[in-house]
Amino acid sequence: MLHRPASRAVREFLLLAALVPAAAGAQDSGRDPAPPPAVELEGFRLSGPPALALLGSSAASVARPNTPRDLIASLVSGAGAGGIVPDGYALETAPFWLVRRKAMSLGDYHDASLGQRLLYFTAISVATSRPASRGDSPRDARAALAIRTLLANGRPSARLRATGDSMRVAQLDYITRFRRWEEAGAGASGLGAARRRLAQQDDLLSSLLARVVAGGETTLRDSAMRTLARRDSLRAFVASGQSAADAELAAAGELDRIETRLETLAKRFAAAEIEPNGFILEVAAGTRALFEEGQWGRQQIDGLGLWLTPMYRARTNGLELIGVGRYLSRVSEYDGHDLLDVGVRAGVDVGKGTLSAEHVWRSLHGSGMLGLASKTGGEYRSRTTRWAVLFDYPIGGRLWAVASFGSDYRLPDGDRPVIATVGLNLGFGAIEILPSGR
Amino acid sequence: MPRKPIALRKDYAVGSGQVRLSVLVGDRQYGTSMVFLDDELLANGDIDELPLGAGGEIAGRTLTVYTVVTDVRDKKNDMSVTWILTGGDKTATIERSGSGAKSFGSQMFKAVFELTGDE
Repeated sequence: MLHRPASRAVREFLLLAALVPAAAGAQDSGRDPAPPPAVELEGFRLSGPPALALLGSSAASVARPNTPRDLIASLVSGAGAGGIVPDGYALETAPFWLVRRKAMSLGDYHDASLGQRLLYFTAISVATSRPASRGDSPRDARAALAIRTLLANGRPSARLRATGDSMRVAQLDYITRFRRWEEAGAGASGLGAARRRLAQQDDLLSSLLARVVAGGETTLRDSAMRTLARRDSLRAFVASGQSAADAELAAAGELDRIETRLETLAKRFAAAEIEPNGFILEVAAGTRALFEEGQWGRQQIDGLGLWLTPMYRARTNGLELIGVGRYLSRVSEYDGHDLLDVGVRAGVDVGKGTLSAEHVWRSLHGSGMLGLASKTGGEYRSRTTRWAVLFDYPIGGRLWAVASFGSDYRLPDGDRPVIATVGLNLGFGAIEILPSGR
Repeated sequence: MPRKPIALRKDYAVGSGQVRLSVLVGDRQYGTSMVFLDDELLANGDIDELPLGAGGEIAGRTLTVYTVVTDVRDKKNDMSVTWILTGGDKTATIERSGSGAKSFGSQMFKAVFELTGDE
């Protein structure tokens, strides 16, 4: 399983995607050519398998096999038929976790050395795509192979530790009540049989008393007294058993309640585990190949990608720093040119909301599409930057209020559009790895 | 109604030296234990090399270990507990596996060791 930080910044990207960009619309009007894509730092980070990012596509689903059998089944189904590369296949798996790890404790996992982290957090991904064909020509296909890992994974957050402490308290409570439930269950055992015997003794006693009192059979008096003693003893036993049965039922209800509480805490724990504090460094790299006419046998390497994502999170004072660097060669969305993006983002909690600022540098080789192009060595090279200050605040449910202000990438005419948006995030949208078309 | 515990019942032959108990919760899951010698609570929480007493003192008594494991992994709910007893004639390492009834569920493991002396 790969550990990836999933920060509030991700949500911020989602909400910005769902904004009504009134101000942006005003900037767009009357400009020719169209402004550059509004790429934000979050868009440079890997939100899915790097192999998919290399293809610039998003598969409907990514297979994540976690057993050797699942892996083989997925690879067989993804290999396609007739030597043709399938369309829309994506798989990511962490080899270390393909087999069960009975000897691995949670502490071992959290205190992993660098070598162990490489084992735990390395994931391999593959993806394929066959873009729509033009005319009658057979469709070429692309496939990508990539690897990613965590070279540093911070330390368990205060939230994780607090959740763990709460789980411990709940688990100890569970064990205590489980013992009570066991004891009560033992006390209640045989209650049914005792009730039947009690009924028999009651019947027998009634009969004996009738014969002694009404029939005058005094010889049965001792027998009636012994039956009375047995009946009283059984009554006490049944009363005690019933009390134990009541206690057993009450304890079972308490255990159900604690199990529900533990389930909630476990979900919280799993969520907090993927957001460690401290320094986190994710590295990913991959290569992409073009398959002529979609044939597996006719391939040529046509691109590569490299991602470096350092991040520092100090949740005690609500500070989060993220740096992102990525290099992608021959990006189809940019006419096959190379793309280098470097960005940094700082965020701090303000009450329930988050205030953050980001600065992004973009360099595109081989084209002047982003403006301010200079010609070096016969090749165009474009550079531009973007900065923004963002604020988001949870309103309730999946609703977020958002606002942003900043300066967007410079346009070909030299102008710098102002970023000024205010809106609501309704919780819809998706993160794209590569910028959408111009 | 709670699920039936995954149970273990074993004899462990103690010697004259200090007997110790470790409980390993595996599969990267979250677990907590309570250890009883007869009805006396010895320890709770993580159990690592817990001294139970000299063999001569604890022979004939019953060691009961309750461990509840909660699934904290979102893709797998495998669970396992390994009990390790040292200080007796032999080291006993015994493991039992299970799985949560549902994702993020909990499961009780119960081990009972009859501590036997030299015959």
